[in-house]
Amino acid sequence: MTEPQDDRDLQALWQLQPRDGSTIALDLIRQMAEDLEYRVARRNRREYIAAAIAAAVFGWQMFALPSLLLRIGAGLCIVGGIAVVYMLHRSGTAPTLPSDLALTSALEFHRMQLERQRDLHRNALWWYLLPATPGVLVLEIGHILAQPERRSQLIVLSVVMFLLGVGVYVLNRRKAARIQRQIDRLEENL
Amino acid sequence: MGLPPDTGSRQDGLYAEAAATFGPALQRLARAYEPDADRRLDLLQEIHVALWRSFASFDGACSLRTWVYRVAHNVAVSQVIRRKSKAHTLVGLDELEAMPAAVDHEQMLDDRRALDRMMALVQQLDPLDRQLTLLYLEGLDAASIGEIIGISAGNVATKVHRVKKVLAERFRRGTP
Repeated sequence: MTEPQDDRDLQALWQLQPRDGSTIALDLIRQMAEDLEYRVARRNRREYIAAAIAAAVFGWQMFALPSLLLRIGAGLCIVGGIAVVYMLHRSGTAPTLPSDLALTSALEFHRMQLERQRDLHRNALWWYLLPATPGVLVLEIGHILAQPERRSQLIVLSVVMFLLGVGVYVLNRRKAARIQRQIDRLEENL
Repeated sequence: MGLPPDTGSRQDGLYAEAAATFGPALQRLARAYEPDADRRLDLLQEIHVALWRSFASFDGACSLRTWVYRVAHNVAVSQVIRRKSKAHTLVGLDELEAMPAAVDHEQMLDDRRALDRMMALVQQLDPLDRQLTLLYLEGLDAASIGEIIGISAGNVATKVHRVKKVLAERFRRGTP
């Protein structure tokens, strides 16, 4: 029946807490490192396959759609999709950690992680929304021209999609601002 | 990992030394970052893998302890950032100092309960203050903490003083 009351008590209480079990064998560590690389490679493969399927669907539409405008729209969607995948990989969204973790202080590493996230949200317009916009826009106009009897429905759909895009943009900017406040707070400690 | 054999054995040796020396501290650190048992094990494994990988480039420019704690805290912080959207709100020392110590001291009867409360307190801190508190609880001095976190020893001393104050208020003997 003890109760901590000073530095040493608290530190001793902390350091003497029971352990969770045995140590991790070196072979298991090696295996886990390999598994991690395999998981990252598998995730990348999944993204490429998804992009390839989307490109195949729009590629097929480039030949199957009735009007030139719709075909151009499908082509632009392919280009936009490729641009988004490229930008995602360039900005390093992979959940793997660098091997030189110990060369960066904890505060600096934390700041770098937050800055990466902030930039991803802050630039969502450029890497996410704008590349997708031309294709979608041209497809919508093409559909409206090709199906004049459904014009009002298609216009409503276009407005809804536009508002969704604006919503995504606003949410991303807000998120970026929130992360920036965290960065500012971290920097107060430097 | 595609390393030459001699580099690999040095890497293995450094890892084995680090795991033997700091294994218990890494377990405590994982506990302080992750309340859920399964996720805690994942985090601990991730820390160990990152540590083993990192020793491929260990050049002795800093102590083994600084190296280990930097890797461990950086891995843990990246997990906090990844999962933050699902987590409860974290607070800094400022907020914690301002919050009333909602503690029934009469019930603080044993070490187990005291430890649980201390863990809960640490787990609600934001990453920087959590790192600082953990390193203080591990018994590191201000200079070592500053080297790991990347802030001046003076700044560390000021913050540690506040950590002690908060802990003292919540773990004071016999005060309701």
